[in-house]
Amino acid sequence: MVDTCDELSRLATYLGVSCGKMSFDGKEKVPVLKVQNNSNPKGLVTVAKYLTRSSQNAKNLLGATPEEKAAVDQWLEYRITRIDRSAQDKDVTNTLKELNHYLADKVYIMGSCLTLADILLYNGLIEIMGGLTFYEKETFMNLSRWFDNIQHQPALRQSLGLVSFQRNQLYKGVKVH
Amino acid sequence: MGFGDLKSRAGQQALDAFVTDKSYIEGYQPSQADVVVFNAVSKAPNADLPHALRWFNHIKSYSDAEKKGFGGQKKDVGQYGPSGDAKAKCDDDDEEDDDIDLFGSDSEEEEDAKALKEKRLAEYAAKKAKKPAVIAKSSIVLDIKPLDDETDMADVEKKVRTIVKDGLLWGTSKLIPVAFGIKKLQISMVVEDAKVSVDDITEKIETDFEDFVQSVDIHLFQKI
Repeated sequence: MVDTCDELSRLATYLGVSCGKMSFDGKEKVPVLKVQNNSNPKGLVTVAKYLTRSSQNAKNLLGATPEEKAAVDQWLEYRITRIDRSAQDKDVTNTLKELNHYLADKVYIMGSCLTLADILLYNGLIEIMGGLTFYEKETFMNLSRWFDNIQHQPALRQSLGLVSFQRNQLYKGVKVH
Repeated sequence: MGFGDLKSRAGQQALDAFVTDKSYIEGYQPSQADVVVFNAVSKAPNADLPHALRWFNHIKSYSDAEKKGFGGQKKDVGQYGPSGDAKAKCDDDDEEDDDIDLFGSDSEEEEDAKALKEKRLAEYAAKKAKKPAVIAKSSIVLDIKPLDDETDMADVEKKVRTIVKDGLLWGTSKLIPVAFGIKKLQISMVVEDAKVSVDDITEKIETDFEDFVQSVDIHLFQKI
């Protein structure tokens, strides 16, 4: 979970803001950002939103309309509750299935533009996607397509490795979830 | 390469299969490739082609001004999509028809032909500018030795030149006396390494014209 600090500093680099002093609260297992007036943002989503709001070039990363803003918030919560806290393999599979189904008609989580939801879900899924077999990646075709597209944005990936995907479909007639 | 006719069901099915695991036609950002294919599709694909529809709606969400701002260069729509598609051949045939028109052009059509030619030239220049060093070529000189002294070398040369392949270009040839009035044929050719195998060609000459040819050797092999 110390990874979340790295994740946030990558986000800060992407946004072009300084992430200042970041530490990891071992008791509550959340990252804490030290800012000047002592009201330190705490927790992955809180810090991520703080960084995004304080950035000049974030554009509509938090959503353009009130509806989009609400949906992005919902997806950020999804990251914490469904991805980070999924303890069993069964939970993970269900989450992947759900995301795969959701992404069937979308290029980004919010449809046509990149939002903070894409960035945080991508970071949360790197480990899980890396552990999947090629067969599984192909059954979650929509999710794989979305993930592959996000990870090919160098500004977001930075020093992380690429999760490899097959360029051709290997398993003909595979049952797509 | 190509999807075929993107207004037809088959073409849209090809598009659907192509974008199943891709978000964009080329690379990981929207580009002129998407715009060209988008314009060729023109109408939203049927809902039973979910991937094509998703891609179409995504490109549709961009305004015209945004589309202009996409990177990449515009190419002919046939240049995009899956490679080795049989439908691409139909496109080629169409182009040949155009060429025939070009030769038979009347004075009225001359302007059209000129515009077409300019377009082709621009396309060609764009293509050339984009990948200047990608195509590796080799220049080869083959030694073709006749079966006996009665073989007509001019005929052999004619036969060899009938071999036509994409990426293969025959060059000049000359006859060189070997002994006892026998002459061997030296013929040069230029091949694109990725498309043509030299072994295939020597083998083809040896097997197809075995009644005339004793052996084919590589006299000179040079990478260009």
